[in-house]
Formats: sequence, structure tokens, C-alpha cells
Amino acid sequence: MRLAVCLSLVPDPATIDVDPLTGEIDADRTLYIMDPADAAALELALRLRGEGDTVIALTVGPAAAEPVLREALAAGADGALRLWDESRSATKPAVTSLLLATALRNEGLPDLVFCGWRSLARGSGKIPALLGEYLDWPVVTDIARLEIQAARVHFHRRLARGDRSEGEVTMPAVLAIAADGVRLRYASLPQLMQACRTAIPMRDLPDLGLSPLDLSFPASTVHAVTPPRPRPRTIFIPDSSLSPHERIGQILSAGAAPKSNTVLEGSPDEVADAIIAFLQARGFLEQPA
Amino acid sequence: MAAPVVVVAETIYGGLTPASLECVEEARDVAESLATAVHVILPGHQTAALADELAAHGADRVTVIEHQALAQFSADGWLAAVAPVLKETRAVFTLAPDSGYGRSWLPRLSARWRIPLASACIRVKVTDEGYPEVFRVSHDGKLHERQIWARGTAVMVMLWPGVRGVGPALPGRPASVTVVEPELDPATFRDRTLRTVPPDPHDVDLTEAERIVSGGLGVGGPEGMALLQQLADELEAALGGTRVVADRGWLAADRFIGTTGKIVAPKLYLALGVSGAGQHVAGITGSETVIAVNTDRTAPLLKLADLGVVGDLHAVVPVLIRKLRTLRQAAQAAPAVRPALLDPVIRTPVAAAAGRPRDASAREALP
Repeated sequence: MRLAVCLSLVPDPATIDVDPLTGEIDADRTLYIMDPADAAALELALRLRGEGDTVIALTVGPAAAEPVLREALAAGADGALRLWDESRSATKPAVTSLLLATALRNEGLPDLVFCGWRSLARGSGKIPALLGEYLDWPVVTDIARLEIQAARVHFHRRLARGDRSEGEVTMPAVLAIAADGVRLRYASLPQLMQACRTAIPMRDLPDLGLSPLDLSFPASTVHAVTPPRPRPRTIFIPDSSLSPHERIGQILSAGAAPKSNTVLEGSPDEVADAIIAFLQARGFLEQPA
Repeated sequence: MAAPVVVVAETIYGGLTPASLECVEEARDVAESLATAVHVILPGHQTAALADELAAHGADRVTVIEHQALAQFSADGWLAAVAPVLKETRAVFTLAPDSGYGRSWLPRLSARWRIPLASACIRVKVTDEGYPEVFRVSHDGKLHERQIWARGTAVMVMLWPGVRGVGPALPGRPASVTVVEPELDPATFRDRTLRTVPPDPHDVDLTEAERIVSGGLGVGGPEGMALLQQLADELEAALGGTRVVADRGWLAADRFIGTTGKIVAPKLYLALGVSGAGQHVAGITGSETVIAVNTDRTAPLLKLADLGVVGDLHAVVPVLIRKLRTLRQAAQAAPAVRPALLDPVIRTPVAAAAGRPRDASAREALP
């Protein structure tokens, strides 16, 4: 089986310092890391690799993005490939996924492509689906766990508030991994030294057989970048049947029930009853019939 | 009528997801500034009854795509079913929740139709000059971007769940409901969902847990944590704790709560033997209801809690567990009448007995 992993080098959020006036990131202070979601995808691919299987790491980026591939090689990837269009300073998700899809076709299509579910950079989360579209493959997003069963992948998908769904997808497929607890394995020193000496092949547009016209997509303009300003949530409208005095009280408390802050003392039996009554009153336990 | 603002809604356990209702309400605001209508597309199986809820949150038209093959999510199925309906609406804005489901099919349509798609959006609007404009988060929430397109550009937007919040419903708002039954062959779907499973409190991430039982230094040791685990099982809650507890090895290292650990926002936070140091409290400020038990009547957490109990947890918790067990057995002896579920959902008996509020509302919406 041939596995491909798409990696990206992203700014470490802990080192991002935003100028409150211009909204620009202080580039001097930013450190770059392999995207944690991509690292989890790489680790899962390496764990799945059996006898005779290969794992190839790909990235789209300038020469400065090479460390992410060396890290993958040191962790045990069998090959690495960098894709870039020298005329660009940055790529949009559509361009990134088109470059990846073309390179995968040229190099021989793998059986599975692994991606992170969303990057820590601009974080569109669109690349897996776009890659699936350009390869005409099925796509599964937000995979927390997976297992290969014959020509199918059985997966657990992460939904909101801790819900999970189980499903399956035929191979070949694009898999977007959202396995939070999975960390990339440590590389041994000899592997690290070896990876540092390896020359990383690069493909640009002519190598891939693409014309710059293939990469022109409808333009959007990023007009402003600002430090985050939380948006007010729609939570509450005062009850118009109440008196003005009560409505003002409701508005001032933003509709939140005031904290009752009852403090109880008593025998264990009494306080246990009080806790259960409280849980029942707040709807956490069913009321006794 | 001008081109509508379209929302593609999602369901879970037979009810609408809160993220879908947020999209409908956001679409309502955009539609009002454009003087146009909100058109909601609802793919699924036996979901037509949810149209009233969509109308109550601002939908003017609802197109229900009804097919047995849409009972569970499939990206291929959604593409086959939704694409023709969505294309016909000639939407000026298309909104969908930024969920794993949405991200697996909507970007493909945006590439196919060459319509720009902005994800992780927290706000959608039309500028005074008539340009479509979105605000989105990037760099792990460190930055907000304002993105803008040429006037009249059709734009697809994936709205980040939980940012807008769901406003009150206006029951009785009318909406015209159309049910379409497309020809679909589930055998051609390359991916499918087999079932949806509620979270297991034992391994759910604390940031996603709805109920948390948490222990502090007052639990006294691994035996105390085992006692708390029993209580957590009775309440269907996840087990967490403070940093000191994790540092002593009484709790898994990824399950401590506070500024250096997990920042949690459960509906119920039950703190036992936790004094409430600032570093810990900073991690629980999003909790809706807090109950604290502590021997020290001056513990800061007792003042922050909705219900504070001055007492020894080693005396209180066993009694509490015993009483909860008695209650559960009484409830099981007289089984509640529940409507049959439409989704083939696995449900543990305890989950059904405790009746999570969200599921209860989902069931009410069904015929």
C-alpha cells in the first residue's frame, strides 16, 4: 500500500505576536513548526505502514519549508517531495491542493492521502475536500480513529460536543485527521543526521506540467487583519410582559440567572439530599415521578 | 424576488444542530439587509417536521430533500442530493455550519462552480456599498481577517459554530415548505456513516464534556479519585481534576483543568475537595452550573459556586453515590415512555435514563 501525507509548516501560535494597531504578525518573533494536525496524520500513516508499504511526505512551500519534510524523513517517512511555484509568495488552498493533486498523479497515485483537518495558519480546512475534488476521490474529514479493512477504511469521525460517528469509505480516499492526542514519534539522532543530509526533490510548475493559468482562481481580497475582537453573542431578549424595573434587571444581568451561591452545612445525608434536589431542579437529573 | 440567501442545515439524532440554527439566524440578518428571502435546504430522511423550527428562526422557504439514503451522512450522497437544488436557488450567499460534515462536501462544490468559499467565519454581512464581506478567524484564533469580494459575487460561507449563539424562536412564523425526492443510488456513495454515537464520558475530551466531576488535593489519594470516578459514572460525567492531583499521579496528565491544562465549559461542574486557586478557576469560568464541596468554609470556590457545601467529600460522596443509585433503580423500575428513535443510534441505558436535554428537545420536534 502506498500512503501519502500532506504536511505544512505553520507559525507556532504561542509565538505569534500581533501588533494591535496594524494587525500584523511580528515576523521576527515567530517560530515555525510542523502543523500539529499534520503531524498526527503523519504519525497515523507511519503506524499503518506494514511490510512493503511506503509513506511519502509532501509539502507546498518555498525552500524555507524544507525542515517539515526533513522532520518527516527523520520520523521514518520513505520519501519527501516539495512543490512550489517560484513566482508566488503564498498560495491559496485551491492552488495548494491543485499542486498536490497534480504531483500525486505524476508520481503515481497512492492508495490513501492523509492531511491534517485544519492548519494553524489561515486554517481554511478546505484542502482535503479540494484535493478529493481534483483527484475525484471520496473525502472523509475530522477522523479521530481509523482502521483498514480490506479495500475500505473504517473510521470514527469527530462531531460537535464530543459526539462521534462511525463510518466507512472506499479506497483510494483523502483522509483529514483530527486525532488530538496523537503526537509524532521522536526521531533518533542518526535518523535526524541522515534526514539533514538528504537532498529534497522539488517540482515547480513546468515539472508538474502546469501553466500559471491553471492556477488563477477568483480573487478575494483580505481587506484587513485585526487582533481578535469577540463578537457579541445573541443570547437574550428581555421578557416584554415584565415591569420596566424587572426588565432593566434582566438586561443588566444579560439574562443569566444570578448565581444563587447557597452555602450549606449539615450531615452527609442532608447535604447529599440537597445536592440531588439541586441537580433535579436544574434538570441534570430526572424529577421523581 | 432577488436572489435568496441559502442555508444548508444539518441534523443530529433527528434534530437540527445548534450550528444550523445559528446559520439560519445569520442568514436572516443578511437577507434583511439585501431585502431578500432566506431559503433553507434540509437534506435527510423524515426531517420535514423540522421545517417549523427553521421557520421560527427565520427561514422563509424550506426545501426538504427527502431520501432514505440520506438518513445518515455521506459526502457523496450530499453532493448528489444537494448540488442540483443548491444550483437552482442561484444563491447570493450560501451558508453552512463549519462542521466536519460541511467541510467534506461544500468545498468541492465551490471548486466545481468556481464560487469563493470562506470557512471559519464568525460574521457575514453586506457592506453599505453592497459588497459581500466576511470576518473569519485564523492562526488559531490569534487574528481576525476581514475578507471582501466584488459587488454581486456569490459567496459560500462556513460559519464557525457557537460564536453567534441562537436567539429565541418565534413560533408561528410562516414558511413555504417544498419536499423534493431525488433519485439517488446509495450503492454509488463511496463513503457512508454507519451510526452516530454519543460521547463516552470516560474518554471524551474535557473541553467537549457536558458534565465534569473534578477532584482537588482534598481527595487525598488514588482511592479518593476512584470514589470520584464512581460518582462521575453515576452522573454520566467526565472525570477531571486540578494540577496538583495530576502532578501527584492520581489523574491522567491530559485531564487536569486550569490555565496550564484544559479550559473547560461544561453545563455542570462538580468540584470536590477543590479550594479554587486562581489558576484552576480561570479554567472553569465558562461552566454554567458549579457545585463545590470543601471542608474549608473560606475556600474561594465555595463563594463562586451556585451550590456550595461545607463538608468532607469522603463522607458526602459515598452517601451521594448511594442515593443516586437508588434513584436510578427506581427510575429503571418504572420505564419512561419514549418515542421510537429514527436514527440507529447506540444509546447506553444510563444515557437514556438520564435523558440529555438536547436529545429531549430533538425528540419533541419529531412527529
